Amino acid sequence: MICIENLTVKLPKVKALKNINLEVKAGQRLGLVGESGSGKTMLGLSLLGITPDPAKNSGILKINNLNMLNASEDEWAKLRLHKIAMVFQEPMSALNPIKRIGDILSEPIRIHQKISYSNSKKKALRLLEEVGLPEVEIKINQFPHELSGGQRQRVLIALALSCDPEILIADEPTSALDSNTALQITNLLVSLSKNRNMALVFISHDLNAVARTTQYLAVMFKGEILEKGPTKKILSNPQHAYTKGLIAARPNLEPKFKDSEGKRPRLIMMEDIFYQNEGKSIVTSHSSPSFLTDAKNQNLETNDEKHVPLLKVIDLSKSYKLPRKNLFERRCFLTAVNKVQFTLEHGQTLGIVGESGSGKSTIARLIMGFEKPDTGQVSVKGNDINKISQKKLRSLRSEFQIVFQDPFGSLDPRRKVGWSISEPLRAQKIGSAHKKLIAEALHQVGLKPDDAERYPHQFSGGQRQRIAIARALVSRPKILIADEAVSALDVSVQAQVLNLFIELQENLGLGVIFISHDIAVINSICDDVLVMKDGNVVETGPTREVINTPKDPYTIELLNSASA
Amino acid sequence: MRFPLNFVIGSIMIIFVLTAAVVSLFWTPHSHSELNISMKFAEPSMLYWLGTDQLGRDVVSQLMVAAQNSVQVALLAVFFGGAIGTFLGLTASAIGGVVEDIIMRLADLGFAFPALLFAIMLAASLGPSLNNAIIAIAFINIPIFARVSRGSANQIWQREYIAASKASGLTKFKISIDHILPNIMAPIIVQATIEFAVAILAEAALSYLGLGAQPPQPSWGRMLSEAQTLMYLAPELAIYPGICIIIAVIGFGLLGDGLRDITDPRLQGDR
Repeated sequence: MICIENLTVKLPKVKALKNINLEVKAGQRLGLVGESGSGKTMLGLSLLGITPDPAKNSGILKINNLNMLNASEDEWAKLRLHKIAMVFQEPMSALNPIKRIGDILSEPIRIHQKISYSNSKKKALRLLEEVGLPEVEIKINQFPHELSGGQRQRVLIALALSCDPEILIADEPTSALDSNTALQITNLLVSLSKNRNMALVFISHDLNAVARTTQYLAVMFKGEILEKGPTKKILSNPQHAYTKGLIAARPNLEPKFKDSEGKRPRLIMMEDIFYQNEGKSIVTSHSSPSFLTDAKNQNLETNDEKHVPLLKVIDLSKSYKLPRKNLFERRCFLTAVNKVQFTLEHGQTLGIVGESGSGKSTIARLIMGFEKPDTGQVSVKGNDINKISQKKLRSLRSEFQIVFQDPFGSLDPRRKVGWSISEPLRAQKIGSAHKKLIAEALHQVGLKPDDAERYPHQFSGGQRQRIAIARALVSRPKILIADEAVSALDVSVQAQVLNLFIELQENLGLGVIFISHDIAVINSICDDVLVMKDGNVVETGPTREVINTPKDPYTIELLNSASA
Repeated sequence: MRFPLNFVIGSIMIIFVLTAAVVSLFWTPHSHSELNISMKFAEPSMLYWLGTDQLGRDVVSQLMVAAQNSVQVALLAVFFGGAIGTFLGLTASAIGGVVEDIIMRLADLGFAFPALLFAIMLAASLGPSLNNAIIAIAFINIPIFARVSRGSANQIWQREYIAASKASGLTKFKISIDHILPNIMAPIIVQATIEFAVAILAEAALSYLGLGAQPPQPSWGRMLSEAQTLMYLAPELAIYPGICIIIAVIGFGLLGDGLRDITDPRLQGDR
């Protein structure tokens, strides 16, 4: 079906793809795995003939025995949707928000197959049933925003199937979804490929998803295929060091025992495998004695008042008004957080795990005082943050800091890194020696002091996340909240940043609240865990107990989808 | 990077107007107010490039001084209107709630008020003068900038780096100055350029009605109104200032459109 030999795509500045050789036969499921910048999406796009304009292509690209390399737009148009179709990553933006689901689907059917409106509607209905959308008769008249993320992804798949293609390319179709929903979508893709004898090219950074979806696998790095072969064989016996690293660096559900000094085991990082001889990694090799011992002494001093927990959350509830469907209806409320309570002590790492919409981020916002709770209280070192004055709250803020998910949105693009990092110092009017403190903070997170003079866009995602952590640490807080702080990062970078968190937590004695949808990530760094569903805490306890002997059915479901 | 065509054409037109205005500060071919009745209605010549008017004043000199006059009014009016409007928009966005509602409803009220009416009112109470024209034009700019800045600022307030600043303990005022303002400058500058065009047109209209620049200060609007009675005798006296107004207004309009195209990230990929 697809035959690629020595395909090279040159962009003005870089070679996006180098000497790609691939073959996909009818009904085969091929996985393309790699981190951001590996060229996997570029390869997917070149299979559809949508490479960026100035690209220069060479090699052989045959689809259905037609040579499509540098084919004209008309030739491609004949193939697209009919023979080869694509499912895009972002289910939010890939559907036109002002059109009903039925219209979105029936339009391409009508245009491509030249059938009547009512027939195209019937076909749309059949497709939606095939992709397992519930209540199709109702959904067909709804708008995209009325559907959940998983349902939207199903609509996108139905859209790609609308002209019965022989090849389906799915570009990160599960990355924006919760683990349970992702599991359903990958199962759907597998059964569609089997039932229709359709070839599937599954592009993902998620090895779990690839493992359960595909038969063959190609590992990509910087535009090259490093290794390819049957999925099972590659995952169980990787040959290339990069593949080995990719597999090893994944957070997993194996128990993590602390050593005799109470140190948590580090995650294996890509560098560890690449440079095995040199041994040490970036993060573990440095130390900054003056600051660290400083912080430790401070902790000893505060030991006396340890009976006051660092952070205490009592009966916290928050609900949001839902828009009224009609004027006379009674207003409905969505309970985002329902009577949550927990305490956080010095040096404790607490994980909060749950799907999107479970209320875990709302808890972070409530603790930070960005929003007021309906009931309940948040006490930082015995101060109820919603009762004390604004002025006092502002000065208390140096004690608890937050790191966000998106490393691209959490730094002001117009300000130099040093300026952003020193912001808490300026806010707290901690007067002198900002330069020294900025340099120290950068050093702690494994960056250079000179980096303070650069702008955020000059850094990679992982580096930006380090900068955000540096900003959170510069005022020497006792509590650090990480809201999905590693979710947007590639596996190799994720391991680095997680190790950084472990390192900092142990050296500075921080109380850390680590929020994540990924229970494997929580397992790697948290002592205790709260499992949340629909605003309620369904299970809580030490991480190992919860993972080994889950009690709540939801926790079991979560663990199953994580290890699938 | 290639500049869009509208930006290039607009820039050329505006540079032409600005050059005339700046040069008139130091030099004009003749004095713009010197009467020379013997030379009235002179044909264009080497001495008088575009001829003279009914009182024998040099048309080119008048147009140049009037350009300076127009640019000055537009600059001051848009600057003050923009500054006050942006301040109100930022305040509304930062505080939110009832304060935001009040400020934005007042802005709606300002939109409903025709500028000319306000200028006439001002002239009636304070007397016609260039300063009152500036105040009137600045006033109509306030709600426009309040809306633009508040809309853009509301978007920026949702960003995570703002949440991080809040977590650092920054006050809303400080966040507005440090983060919001620099990040909404692009749409404000674009709006200001477009408002220059509107301000020049408004100044011409007010001067035409005698509510703007007072004699002997020349102004395109007043040159138009003076030439009106001589339409059949010397139509060119009305055409010259008309062309000047058109160049300035279209020039700033194109420049604004061009700037918007350049700063709009959605269009950046196409270039």
